Amino acid sequence: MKDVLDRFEEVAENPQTCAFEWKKETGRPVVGTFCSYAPEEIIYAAGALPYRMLGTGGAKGYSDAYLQSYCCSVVKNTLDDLLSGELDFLDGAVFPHTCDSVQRLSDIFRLNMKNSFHLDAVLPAKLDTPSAAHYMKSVLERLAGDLEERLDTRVTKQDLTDAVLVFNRIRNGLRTLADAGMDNRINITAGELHTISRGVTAMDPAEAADLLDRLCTFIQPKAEPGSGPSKRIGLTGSVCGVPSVYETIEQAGGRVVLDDFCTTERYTDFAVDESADPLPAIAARYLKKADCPCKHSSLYSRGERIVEKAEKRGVKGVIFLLLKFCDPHAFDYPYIRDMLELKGIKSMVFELDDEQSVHAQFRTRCEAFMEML
Amino acid sequence: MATPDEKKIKADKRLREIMTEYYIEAKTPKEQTGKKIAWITSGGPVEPLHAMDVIPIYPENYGAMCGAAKMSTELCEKAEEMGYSSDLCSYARGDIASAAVNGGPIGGLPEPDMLICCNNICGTVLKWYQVLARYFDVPLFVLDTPVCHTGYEKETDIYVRHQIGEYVAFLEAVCGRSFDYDRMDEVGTLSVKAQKLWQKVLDTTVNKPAPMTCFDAFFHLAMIVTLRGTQTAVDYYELLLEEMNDRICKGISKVEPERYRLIWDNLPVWYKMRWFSDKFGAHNAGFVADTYTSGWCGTLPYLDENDFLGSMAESYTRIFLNTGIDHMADNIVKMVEKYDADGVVFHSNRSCKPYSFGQYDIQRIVGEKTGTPCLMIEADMCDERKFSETQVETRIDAFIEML
Repeated sequence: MKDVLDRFEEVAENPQTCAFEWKKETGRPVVGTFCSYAPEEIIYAAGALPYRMLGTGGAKGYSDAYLQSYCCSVVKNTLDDLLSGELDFLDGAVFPHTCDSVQRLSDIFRLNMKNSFHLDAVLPAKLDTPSAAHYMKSVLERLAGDLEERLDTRVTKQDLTDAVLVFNRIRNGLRTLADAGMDNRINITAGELHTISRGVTAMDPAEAADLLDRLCTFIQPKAEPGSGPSKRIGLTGSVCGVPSVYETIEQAGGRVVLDDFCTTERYTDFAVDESADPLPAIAARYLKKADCPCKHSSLYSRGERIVEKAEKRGVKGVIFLLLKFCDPHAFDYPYIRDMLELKGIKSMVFELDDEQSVHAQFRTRCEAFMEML
Repeated sequence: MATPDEKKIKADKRLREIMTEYYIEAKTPKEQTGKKIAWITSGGPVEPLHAMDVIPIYPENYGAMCGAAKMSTELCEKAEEMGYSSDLCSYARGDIASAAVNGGPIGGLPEPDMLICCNNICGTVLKWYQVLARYFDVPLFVLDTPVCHTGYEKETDIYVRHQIGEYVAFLEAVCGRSFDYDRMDEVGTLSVKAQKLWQKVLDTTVNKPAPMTCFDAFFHLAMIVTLRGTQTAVDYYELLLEEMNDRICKGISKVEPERYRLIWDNLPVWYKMRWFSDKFGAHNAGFVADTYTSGWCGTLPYLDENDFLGSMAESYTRIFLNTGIDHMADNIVKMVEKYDADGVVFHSNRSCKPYSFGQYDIQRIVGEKTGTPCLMIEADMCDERKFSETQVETRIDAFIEML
């Protein structure tokens, strides 16, 4: 099990190097993507590695001449990676429409990328009407055609079906491991699960699926005895670029049993229907999966889902880990906090800015929160 | 030199009267007016509301009023107490708080019967209107207008056209009666008329000296936003245009002598309008055009006055804020040429990310294509806590020296 975890950690810590190595070994293209609505299956079916750009961090400062200080760190870090030349290995980038900041990041990428293609997949913001569903499918069809042209290839129905099977295995594997980890049926911490989910974003999908299958063989049928009186904690937010938060929570006496980020539970939610026509089935998944706050389905869908999951998993407290300047999540926080409170679930909000500021402050806040529970 | 009295724009008085009447009607109990109220986003399609005799209310317009009255910061703080981050849009924070405490210069807006949200201006309005829909528990219609980064795609047209039909059906359901297509044709004609007149008003500043500045345009904008599609708006802009032409004949301008002609990008800093006007005016610099107020007539090329409803999809989707930053830069380049401008001032607005992110690239493009000096000022349209007067003042002085 250790060698598998090590491999995920290697990729999670050096995603660019690993993707570049893959490109050298296979001679195939790498396409950068942004957000959990990026249709990885189509990119993979077109013969390319979908590489999720999450920003490697380190405050390189290149983006300061392109984006103001009131822009979130994920967007700024990703632009830093582009401008510093670290993303020169990309053959192209695909931007699905998400928030206002990413909308402009896409424009800035398009104007500043060198020798690589750029595509927008302007997915609908609405997910709750037949016309939005039809539009979603049309956008994905256009994207498939554009990728065929840019990568000089053909995307057949079989290619898409094969890609769907691989990504379903990945999401299913991640979900199964997360469930088992939370029930003590496998010796994997929430922090390790987070690392695995990060590794998946820059790894050959077939390799990721195989490794996850291997890890799943270590799952025990019955739960191990609990490891102490840990308080069951839920985490929610956009993405978490600071893996140390899991350790901090554990040290403060908590145990993460709900991990609602767009690289974790919101990414793994819902499988593509393998028996249906693949492209419409990929589109259909986006309408059903756990939604991002940038999308509109129902007024309470996100709150209801988080409350339901929290209750099911016996969560005592939820920590909103909100990225500073991430508007969509900040707008949703008050109503979800209130919904949790009605069910007797306490919450706290912590604003993530840069990595440095997190450690001491988060520890203190976390300890106070655990005492309150 | 014109006297201070001559410099004043006479139509201001009429605008104040109309807007007062508009808010009085809106705040009159619904049992007396018999009209429903819709809250709508500033870029949203208001014409079908007028066709159905629904009173449109613009929280963003009210946000501007609160900002100009210096009442926004207190409301923003109230929203922050409710849990909304201080980094969120100050219009949204102000409005959410105002709904809860009936705040602002007219003691809050009349409660809505429905909410109409069009995301052609930003994704923020979607979140904001979701908050309102939960608070008021009234139906919400979302018109989703996909961003036209590089063009207007066929599938976008099909999608938005379909939604225009859904919008009509939504209004029929909420109002409990059939949509009046004949009335819609009349409203559409009036809307196009008003937009053309507004463009003509804005074009008068091509004249040297310009008969008004963008600070006047920010004020006179209220009508094209709220009452577009009514005879009132058409009559008003005819009056204003006549006055502008008269000022041109008489050589009256706001800045005398007009030494530098500038362009403003982004929303105004509502609580500092006079300060900016005086500050630049002292250097004999006047803002002859801006990207904001022209947004309400910028899609005229896509509108068909003989088929307003049919052309709404394209015209509402292709507004400049819903396009790529290179397109937005080209818009400024054209303005620099058209108005023979000497410089461009960019308001980097902490409240408006889609308008502000990309401004550095836009600045570069405008500089390269026109050689015009550019200035970036960081502020917020309504939250006074995010404005540093001394810092901005120093930058303005340095910029003027460059001209």
